[in-house]
Amino acid sequence: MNSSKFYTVITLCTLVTWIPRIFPFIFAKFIKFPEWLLRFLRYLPLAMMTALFAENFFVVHPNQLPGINLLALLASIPAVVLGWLTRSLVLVVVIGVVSMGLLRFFSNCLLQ
Amino acid sequence: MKSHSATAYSSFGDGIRAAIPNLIGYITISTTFGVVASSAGFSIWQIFLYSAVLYAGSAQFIVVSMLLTGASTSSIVLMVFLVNFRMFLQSLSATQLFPKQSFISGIAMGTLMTDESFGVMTFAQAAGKNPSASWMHGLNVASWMAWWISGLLSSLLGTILTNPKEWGLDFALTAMFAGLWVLTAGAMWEQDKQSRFLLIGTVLLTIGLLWILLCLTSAAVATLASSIAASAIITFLTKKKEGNP
Repeated sequence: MNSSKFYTVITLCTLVTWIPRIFPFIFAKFIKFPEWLLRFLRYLPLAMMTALFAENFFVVHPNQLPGINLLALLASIPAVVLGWLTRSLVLVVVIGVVSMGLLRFFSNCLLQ
Repeated sequence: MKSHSATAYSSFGDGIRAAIPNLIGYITISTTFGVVASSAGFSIWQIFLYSAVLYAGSAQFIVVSMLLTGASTSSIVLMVFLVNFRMFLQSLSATQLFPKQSFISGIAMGTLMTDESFGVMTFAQAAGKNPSASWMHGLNVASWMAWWISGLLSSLLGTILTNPKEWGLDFALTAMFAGLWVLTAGAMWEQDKQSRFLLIGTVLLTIGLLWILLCLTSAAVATLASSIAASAIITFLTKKKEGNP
């Protein structure tokens, strides 16, 4: 991993995480948020997680609408269903990785 | 109902005990992080910095994945800022619950408070237990130690796996985001029974915008822009709805 970029990123990320965390303990008396901003901040984490997750299903071609990464989509289905039922992060990762392994194995068999 | 071993909510040690049910969750997630990050080529020292200094759950996975895809420094930092901004709201409500603590105690509490320790605290508060600041510090410190120690130990495991793709581990990051998505969506689904269609709307809108934006700009910018735009649209729509008599 490129060292100087890593250290710049980790330092700045630590600062932008830490400052909002401690800010209210220093300035709590002066903070009053408008209601619409609180509502925006309520939906933002869900939208960000959706975008970060969904990004993996798209294959970008230049000057064209993105295509679909079928293998990633198929491998995610059992992981998401089990995750929804159990609410276990670790289970989602394990099932996702195993499904991807199996799908790659079978798609290789089909192509040969 | 009285119990002889009534749970106390006053000392640092009581706080450590209160953290125990959550530790299994921390250890498994941080272990996954250690394995994924070290198989992606990060050193043990770098994994220590991620887990002990950045100490930010999902943001750690985001930084690993964005560094791997060569995203710009500014887009990574902006993404982490937005993902972690909920901590601001948690700290804000914690200041209301511990109004008399010292400056140093407040800084320490804000630095180490997590989604989970905040959850345990609000639950104790709601149950009328009146937890002390020392109890909260015990809870926070135990959680933090469990997080970075398990991250560090598991990174040794990741270095043994020399060919991550063979193990399907290159897909572990995607699966991790799948899991974080399920947990976030599931928690909001339970909390927000009246406006579930807004949650579905947020998800579909984000995916639609992302699909269009991906052919105009880089993946990092498309991810950021689609999520901000989708939340802004949902915020605007709910405002209009509540404006009606």
